[in-house]
Amino acid sequence: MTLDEMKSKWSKENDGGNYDELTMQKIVKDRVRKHTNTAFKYFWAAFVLQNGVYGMLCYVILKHWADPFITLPALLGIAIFIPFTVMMMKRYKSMGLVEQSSMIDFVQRRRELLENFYRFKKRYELVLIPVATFIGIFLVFELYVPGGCLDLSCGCGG
Amino acid sequence: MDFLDQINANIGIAHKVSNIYFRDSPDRDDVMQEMMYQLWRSHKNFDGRSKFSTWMYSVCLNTALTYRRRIRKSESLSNKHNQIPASPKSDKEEVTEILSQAISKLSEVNKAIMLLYLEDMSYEEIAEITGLTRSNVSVRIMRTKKELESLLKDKIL
Repeated sequence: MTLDEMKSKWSKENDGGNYDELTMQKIVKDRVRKHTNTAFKYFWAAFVLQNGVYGMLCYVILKHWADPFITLPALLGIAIFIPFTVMMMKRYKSMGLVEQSSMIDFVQRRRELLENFYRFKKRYELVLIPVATFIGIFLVFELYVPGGCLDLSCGCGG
Repeated sequence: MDFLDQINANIGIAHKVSNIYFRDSPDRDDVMQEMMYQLWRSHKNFDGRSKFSTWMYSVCLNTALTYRRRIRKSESLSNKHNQIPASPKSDKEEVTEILSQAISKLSEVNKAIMLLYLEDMSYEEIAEITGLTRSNVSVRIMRTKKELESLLKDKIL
């Protein structure tokens, strides 16, 4: 049998069990719940991470209060995370406050808010990730990895 | 014709797409539900410029591809081995099953193209659904047919 012969025998029927109104409603409710859970899982994970970052940086600032070489990058770290946290809280709060006039409008509105947040996230992370990584590395090396450039001018370097 | 009637009239589309992309039964049920949800969510955007079946194909294929990307990482070898082949009833069903199995071995985009080709869709319609150009579609069909023929070598002789 050739492929063309097989093609002619390919079932083009459109059967496979119909969906009634009730089943469709159940599917929609289940899916909305599933997508909402996924979105909120991200929220809680990001929220915990950001609180961890704020806590850690506040600790560093308090401990090294007198040293601007440490406190300034730590403050910059906090400052760069704040807009992200604020935006995330606002969008997720709005998602929770969407009125359920009709199911389709409710889902569309939530989706718009989520899309809006992820668009912001995508753009903001272009700045946030490199700056936060730089601050993190800088602080870790400044605080916990002692050392520095070898001073050859004293004559004892080599 | 309301939304649900149109879906029921074309429900085979969702079944065929899920059958080709997900040979594993639990994933197939889940993706069917996801397809129904995505169709329900986006049916307001259907403006009637194309056929309902064309629009339904594009939504179902997009959902299947997105879902496939998501589960690929967690897909285990054992799942593939746990499949119990269903016993086909007629010659037509047997051919459809053999073709479905062969198509499921193709790349993600070629699966979609071959499915639409077997459904007797024009190159223009396939291009509209997949977002490829017409010439790209025709080249891919030629190549995929050859690939499919080699996959079916022992079955089509």
